Amino acid sequence: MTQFDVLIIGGGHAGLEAAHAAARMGRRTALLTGSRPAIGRMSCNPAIGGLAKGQLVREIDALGGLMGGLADAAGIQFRILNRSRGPAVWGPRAQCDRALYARLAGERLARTENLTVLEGMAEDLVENGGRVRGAVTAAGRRIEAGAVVVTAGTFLNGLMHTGEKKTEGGRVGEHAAKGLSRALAGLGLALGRFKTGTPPRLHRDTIDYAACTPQEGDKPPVPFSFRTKRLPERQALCWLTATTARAHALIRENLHRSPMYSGQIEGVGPRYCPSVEDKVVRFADKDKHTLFLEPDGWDSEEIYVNGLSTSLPEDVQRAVLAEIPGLAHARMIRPGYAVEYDFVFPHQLRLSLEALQAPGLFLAGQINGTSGYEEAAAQGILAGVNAALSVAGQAPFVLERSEAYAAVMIDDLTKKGLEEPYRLFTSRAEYRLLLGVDTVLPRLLPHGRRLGLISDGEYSEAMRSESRLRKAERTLRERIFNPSLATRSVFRERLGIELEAQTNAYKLLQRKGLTIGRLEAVDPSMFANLDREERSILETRVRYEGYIRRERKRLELLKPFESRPIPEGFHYVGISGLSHEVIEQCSRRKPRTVGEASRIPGVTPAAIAIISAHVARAGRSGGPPPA
Amino acid sequence: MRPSDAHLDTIVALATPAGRSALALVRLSGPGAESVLAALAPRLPAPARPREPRLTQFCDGQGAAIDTGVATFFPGPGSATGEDVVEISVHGSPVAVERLLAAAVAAGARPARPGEFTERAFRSGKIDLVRAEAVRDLIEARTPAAALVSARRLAGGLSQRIESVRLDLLGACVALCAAIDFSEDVGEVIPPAGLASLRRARAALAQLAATAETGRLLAHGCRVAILGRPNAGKSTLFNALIGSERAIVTEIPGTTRDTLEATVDLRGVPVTLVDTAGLRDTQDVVEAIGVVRAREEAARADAILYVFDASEGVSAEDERQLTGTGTAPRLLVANKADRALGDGAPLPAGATLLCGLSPDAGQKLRQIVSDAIASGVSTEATSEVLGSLRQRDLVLRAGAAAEAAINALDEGDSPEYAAAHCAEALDALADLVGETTSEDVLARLFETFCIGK
Repeated sequence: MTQFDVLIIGGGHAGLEAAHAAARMGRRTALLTGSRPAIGRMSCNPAIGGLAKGQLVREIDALGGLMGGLADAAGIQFRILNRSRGPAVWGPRAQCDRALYARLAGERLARTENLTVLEGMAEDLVENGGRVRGAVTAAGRRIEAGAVVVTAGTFLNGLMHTGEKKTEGGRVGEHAAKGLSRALAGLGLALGRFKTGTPPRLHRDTIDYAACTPQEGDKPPVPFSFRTKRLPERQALCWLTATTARAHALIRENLHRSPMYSGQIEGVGPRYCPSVEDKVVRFADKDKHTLFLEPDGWDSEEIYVNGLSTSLPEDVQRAVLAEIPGLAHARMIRPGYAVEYDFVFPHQLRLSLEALQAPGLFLAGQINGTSGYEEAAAQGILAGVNAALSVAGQAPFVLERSEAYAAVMIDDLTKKGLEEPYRLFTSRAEYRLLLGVDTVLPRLLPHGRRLGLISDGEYSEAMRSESRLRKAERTLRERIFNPSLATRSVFRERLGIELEAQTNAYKLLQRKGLTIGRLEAVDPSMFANLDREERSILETRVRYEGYIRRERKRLELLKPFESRPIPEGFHYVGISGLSHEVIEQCSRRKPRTVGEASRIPGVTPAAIAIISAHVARAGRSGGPPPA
Repeated sequence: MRPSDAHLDTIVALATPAGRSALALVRLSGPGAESVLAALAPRLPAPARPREPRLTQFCDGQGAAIDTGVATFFPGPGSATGEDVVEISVHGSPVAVERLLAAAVAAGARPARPGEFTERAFRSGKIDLVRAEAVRDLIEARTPAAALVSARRLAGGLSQRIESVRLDLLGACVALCAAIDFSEDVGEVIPPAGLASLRRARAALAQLAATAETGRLLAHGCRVAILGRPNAGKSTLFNALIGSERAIVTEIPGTTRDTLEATVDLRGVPVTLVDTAGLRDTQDVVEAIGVVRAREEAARADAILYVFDASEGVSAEDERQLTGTGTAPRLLVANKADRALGDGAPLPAGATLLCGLSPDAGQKLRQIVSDAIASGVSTEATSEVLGSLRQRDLVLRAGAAAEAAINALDEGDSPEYAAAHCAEALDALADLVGETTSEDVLARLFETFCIGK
C-alpha cells in the first residue's frame, strides 16, 4: 500500500486547490511545498479576479474550491469590472492583503482532513509499471502516491532577471526546481520556455497621493463566494497615475539593458500583460500608460505598481519612477524583475489534465503555460478532482465548453497551440452569454455536489437565491395587467406609459427603460424578497431572455457536429485526403469529438468533413464504442 | 448508403451522356484509381506518368480487348477531386463502355452515386459548398445567362464575396470583444471601426440576398400560360413568341385542344410558354378535357398572358372563365388590333393592343413578358448571384443577425449581445460554404447532381 493516494507538488494557487479537492474527496493526500509559509503566496499583484478571471473564481467556488472564500476573507477592496455591461461579462475583482491571503490559505489546508503538508523540493518523479507513482525530494525522501499532480508554477528552471543581474529561482528568495524539469522531459514531455514580469514595489509613505487619482471599491462590496454572507464595509483605496513621455524616453534609451530586448531572455512573454518596455515599443504612438497603485494589505508598507512590469536595471527603474506623477520621490522596496521558466506544452495533456504519455501524472497551473492565479487555481481544482477519480479507477470529470470558462480554457490548452502565456478572456468562449456570473451556481453546484466537494446543506442554501429568481420570473409572467380605467391611470401617472392592451409584468420589464425600480411603483410585492444583486440579475435575465434562448439554439444546432464522438484509438494514418500535418496533430492530441478536432490548429474544415465521415463509417461497421 | 461512407473506396462512372457518340469519358477517383487503371490497361507501363495522356488498349479481366483509347492519370491531391483520378477516353459505343465499367468494377471500383465526384472535391477541400453547387447549376443551365452566373460562382466569385463579408463580421467581433475584454486597460469604448465593418457586412448581405430572385429565375425559369376564349388568337401569339409555327392556327374556334409548350430565353430566364385550349363551356368531350388542362396550367403558371379580341374587349364571359385560375399576375393582350374599329370596346387599363400576325408582334410580346417577370434580373459581370434556396436562406439569416447586432448597439445594449449576433451571422456563413453543414443537408444536396459529376 502506498503512503498517499494523491501527491501534489507545489503549494501555489493550483496546488492548494488540487490538494484541498483531492482530500475532500476522501483521498489520502500530500502536498509537497518548498516552503510552508509560501502556500497560497501571490507572486505577482495582490489581487484576485478581473475580467473572465473573476468568473473563474466563481466557478472554482461553485465547485467547492477555496479561492473565492480566501479572496473574500483577505480582500481589502472589491469591485465588479464591466458592471455597466451584462452579467455575462461582469468581472468581480478584489484587492487582497497578500500576507493575510497566504496565512489563511495555509491555515485552511492545515485544517483540511486527509491532507498532509510536507516541506521539500521535488527533484524527480517515481515511475513504476507505466504509471507515475510518486516523487523524490532533493533531500532524498521518496514519497509514493497513486497519482501525482505537478503545479510547479514558475519554478521549473526559474531564472530571474533584473537588468543584467541574473538569479536562479522561481520567486524572490526561493529556489528553482531543476531536477523536475529533467524528470518531466525524461517522461517524453516537450518543454518550452516562457517569461513573465513583475513591477517594482514602493514604500507607501513615499508616494505623493495628491498627484494621483483615488479609486474606490464598490459600495456595497460583492463577495466572490456564495458562502460569504457579508463583507466588511471598510475598503482600501487604490490610486491611478500614468507614465509620461519622459519616462518613455528613458525606457527607450535603456532598452539594450533590458534582458528581454538584449536577447538574454529566450522565453516568450504574454501579449496581454506586457512589460512596460513592451508597451513603450509596441504602442509608440501613446504618450502615457495607466498605472494602478495597489496596496499590498492593511498593514503592509508595500505598494504594487500594476502596469509597470519590467526587467530594466534598478537604476533605470529608479529614474523612470522619478518621471511619473506621484512617484518622483517614491522609495523602491524591491525593483521589478522578470522570471523565465520552463513549461510543458499542454497539448500533451488530456482534458482531465493527465499527461497523455504518462498516466498518473497530472499538471496544473503555470506549468501548462497559463498566466494568472485564477487560471492556475481552476486547473488545480480540476486536476485534483481527476487525480482523485483516477486513483479510484473512476471516469474523469470533464466539463463542456458551454458549461464553464474553466472548460474553455482547458480545451483551448489541450487542443490549440500555445505561442504565449495563456490568459482567459470571455471572448475565448463561443457561448459567452451562457457563462455569466449569474448562472455559475446552477451550472456548477450540481457537479460540485456530485463530486463530494459541496455538501447537501451548502447546495440547498446556495440554490435558494436561484429558486427565488426562478420564482420571481414566474411571478412576473403571472402578474397580468388589464387596461382598465384605473390601471391605465396608475400606469400613466407612475410610469408615464399608456397601457393599451393586456400585458404581464414580464413583458413590461422587457420594455426599454422599464426597470424593476420603476415597476415597483405599480406593484412592490413582485420583488419583495429579492436583494439588490438578485434584482439586477432578474432584470437582465428578463430583458435578454431572447439572447439566452438563441444562444442555446446555436448550441443545439452545432451539437451534432460538436459532439460526434471520435473513438479512442481512432487511426488517422491511411485516411486519404488528410494532410500529414492533420494526421500528426490529431494522432498526438487525440480529440474525443469532431468539435474538439476542429479546434486543433491546422485541422481544416475539409479535414473535419473527412474525419467526420470516417467516424460515421467506423461507428456503423461495429468499430469500438466512442470514448 | 449515405455520402459520409465515401473516401475509402474508388468510384467509377461514365461522365458523358449514355448512348452512341464519337467519344465517351469514363472517370475514376479514389486511392485505387491507379491500380484499377493498371488492371484495365495491362500494356500501360507502370507506374502511370502523372498528367500525361497515353494511348493504350483496354481489356477486361480475361484479357479480352474492349477498346483502344486514351488514359490520363492525375495523382491527388492536385487532382479535381483531391484524390487519385484517372480519366479514360474511349469510343462512344454503349456496349464497349458498359464492358469497360464492368471491368473497372471487377478490378475493385464501385459505381459512383450522383454528384459523388464533386462531393469528394468538396470533402477534400478543393472547392467549398457554394462552388460545388455551382458545378450542378452550370451543368443544368438552360440559358447563356444562367450558365454565366454559374460559371462565375464556380470560379469562386461568390465565395470571395462571402469571405469578405466573413472578414468584416470577424473584424466587428474582434472590436466588440476588445471592448469587453480590455475595458480594464483601454476604458469602456466601442471602437468605431467595428461598427463600420458591421454596417458593411449588413449592406453586402442585403445586396446578396436581393440577387436570390435573379438566381432562382435564371436556374429554374418560369411558366407563362397563354389563356383566352376560343379564337382569341392564342396560338398565333404563341407562335409569334417562340418565333416558329409550332401551333396549328385556323379560323375555327377550338382548334387547340391539348396544351403545347416551348421554352424561350427572355433576358437569360428560360421561360416556358404554354399554349392552351380556349376557355368555354363545351359538350365536346375532348375539348372539355383541354379546357380543364388550360385551367390547371393557369393555376401553376408564374404569369398568365390573357388574350382577347380587341374588337370585343374583356367581357363578362372572360371574367367568368377566368375565375378559379389562380393568383398569378395577368398580362392583358388585345389581339387583332387590325380589326378593332373606332367604336370597338374600350381597352382595359394596362392592356397592350397588337396584331398577332404583324412582323413585330413577337418582339412586342417578348418585351411584355420579360418586363413582367424578369425586370429585376441582372447578369452584369460585376455582380454575384445566389444560386439556391439554401444559399438564400443562409444569407438572409446572416443578414438578419448582422442587422440585429447593429440594432443592439444602437439601442445601447452591452457589446456582448451584439457579439452574440455576430457569432450567429458567422455560423450562418460557415454553414453556407459547407464548413459546418449537416450530413443530412449534404446528402440531399449531392443527390440532386447527375452521375459522373
